[in-house]
Amino acid sequence: MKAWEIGNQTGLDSLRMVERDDPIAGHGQAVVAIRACALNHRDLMIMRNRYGGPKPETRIPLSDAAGEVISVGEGVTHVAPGDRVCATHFTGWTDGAFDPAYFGHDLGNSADGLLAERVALPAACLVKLPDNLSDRAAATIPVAGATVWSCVHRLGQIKAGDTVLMLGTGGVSIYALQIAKMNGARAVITSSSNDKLERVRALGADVTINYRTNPNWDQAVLDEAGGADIVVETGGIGTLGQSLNACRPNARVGLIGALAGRAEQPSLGPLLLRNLVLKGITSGSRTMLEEFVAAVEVNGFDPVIDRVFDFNDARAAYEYLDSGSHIGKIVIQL
Amino acid sequence: MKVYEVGTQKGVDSLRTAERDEPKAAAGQAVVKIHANSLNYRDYMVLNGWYGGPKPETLIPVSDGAGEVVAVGDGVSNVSVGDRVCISFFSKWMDGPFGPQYFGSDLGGGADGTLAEFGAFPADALVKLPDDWSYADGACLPVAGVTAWNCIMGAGAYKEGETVLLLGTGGVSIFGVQIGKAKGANVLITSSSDDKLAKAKSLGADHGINYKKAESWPKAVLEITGGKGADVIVETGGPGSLEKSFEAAAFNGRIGLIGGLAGQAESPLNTMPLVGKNLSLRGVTCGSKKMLQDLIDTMVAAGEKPVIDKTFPFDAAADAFRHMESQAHLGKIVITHD
Repeated sequence: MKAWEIGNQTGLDSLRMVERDDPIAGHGQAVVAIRACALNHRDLMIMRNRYGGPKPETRIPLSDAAGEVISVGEGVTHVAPGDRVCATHFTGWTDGAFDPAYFGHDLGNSADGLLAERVALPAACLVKLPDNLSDRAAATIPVAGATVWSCVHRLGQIKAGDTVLMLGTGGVSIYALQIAKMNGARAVITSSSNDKLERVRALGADVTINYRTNPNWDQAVLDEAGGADIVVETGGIGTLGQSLNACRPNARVGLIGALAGRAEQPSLGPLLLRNLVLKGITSGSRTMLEEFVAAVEVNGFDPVIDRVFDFNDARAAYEYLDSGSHIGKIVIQL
Repeated sequence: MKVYEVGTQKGVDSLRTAERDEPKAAAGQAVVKIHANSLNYRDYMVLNGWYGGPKPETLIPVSDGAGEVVAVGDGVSNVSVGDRVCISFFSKWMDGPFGPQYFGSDLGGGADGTLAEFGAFPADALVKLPDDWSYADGACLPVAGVTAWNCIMGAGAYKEGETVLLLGTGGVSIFGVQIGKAKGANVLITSSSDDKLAKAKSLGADHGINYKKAESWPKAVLEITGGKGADVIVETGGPGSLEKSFEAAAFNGRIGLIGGLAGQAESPLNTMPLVGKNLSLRGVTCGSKKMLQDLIDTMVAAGEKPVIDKTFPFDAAADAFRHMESQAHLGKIVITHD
């Protein structure tokens, strides 16, 4: 079978396609024939050795995919051949709170990922897909969906009438927008592009703010939406001070994954004076992913897929992500 | 009656006395004859002009007070003349989540405080003292005790048997030791003084860390907890402390960030541990009257009383502030009127 490997991680040129033996389902495992994969920002960071140190050159990349179970090993009762599934990228995190041990089994990072024709995965990380979710749509869900669920539901405790603030129009923001609308919340999104803001308005965004033409976008959130109850903070430390200042009292701010880093000290004044909660979020558990999938099974889900690339053109898909001109997800189809 | 005023707010020397008419109880109010106050660092900040903008020179300072109800206005039913009470800090925050509308009712900041012979307060803000508690005991709780309570017990932060970390031996931290102990926590506390650590241990702390002697106090926290870290941290540490708290925290740890002292890091803040460890950072500005009542009930059930460092007479209030300035204290600094 064919698989991609990350190579020496000096850039996108390191990506290489290889031939490997078909995987065999060990005890507790299922072999999944991948039908579609989706890219995330961290996949770019890994190719540039900017994500927690170098990985083995033979590492298969990508954390997001959907496929079909074609065989199962001993002791597997959770899924059966023929099931359409997606997987949580922390394959050990089935339920409960996060645990550092889960970092050791992170698809596309500390463990082989999903950009291959077939992969053997712990069956416990698989989530069955409903019929109304296509392979392409389902492939885009695991990382962003579990992250959004963790942020908006578990931390955010979303309810009708809340205001949810999304920064930018990346995958997590767009999914958060859709979950916000499913829950009867007011959705506020920022972007530097009026075109993108127009597109998110078509997806249901209630308030859109161009942060380039309106650098005081935090004040605009307060003025135009009365402040945010939930913030999906994907901007990183550079936007955190303004995000906190865009909040209503007792708001919940989810600080999400790979984009955070070191920068100027944000003012924590609003955190104190408005009794905010700021929580770090590294994706979510299988239970959270199952809850996301259940929500979209009932409510329908039409993820914004910007472009679809063929498996053989995986590198072009990375380059397109790198260009930053996308809105929504970039899919690789098998 | 005699009151203190904050004056020009250029330091402890700005504190001045004044004569005023005794207050009368308007509808919904009770007049309390103050018998004891306790000091919080915030009171010191107000006197130095460091707490928000400058206050009117005639502001009566100090948040914490306890005394006897001597008159009640129309419509007051929760307290009666003769009741021994302490006064909740945000006099309008009864229960439930924080609201910005409670600012302005904070005693000794937005509203006149308690460093006076008498004060008229919203009767709803008064909480009765246990019979065997002195006024001095009661005066210790409203700010520091409730802040520690909110950090540890608010928002479901603490789960039984977890590790609670207190930074330093100020009033909030010592209440944190007592609350942690009453709730079955593994209690860790830091100080630069072995004597203070010994005292904290005698009050129930399980482990003391001398942050001057330890190579790194976050590493010491990790060693003591078998590499896991602290589940709940009461972040009173001040500039530069927050990143160390991130390092000392367990995965899914909950850090209560306290007003006034915290969040003043001079160097850029590295939030990667916040994300990687899934930590949660919650801003805490004291708490509600319900929390004050819960704290009193918990301390009574556990047989605990507030830890008083030193008591000063009302006429020597400035000396009490200077004692706070010296940082020599462990527990609360109290002013008594009798």
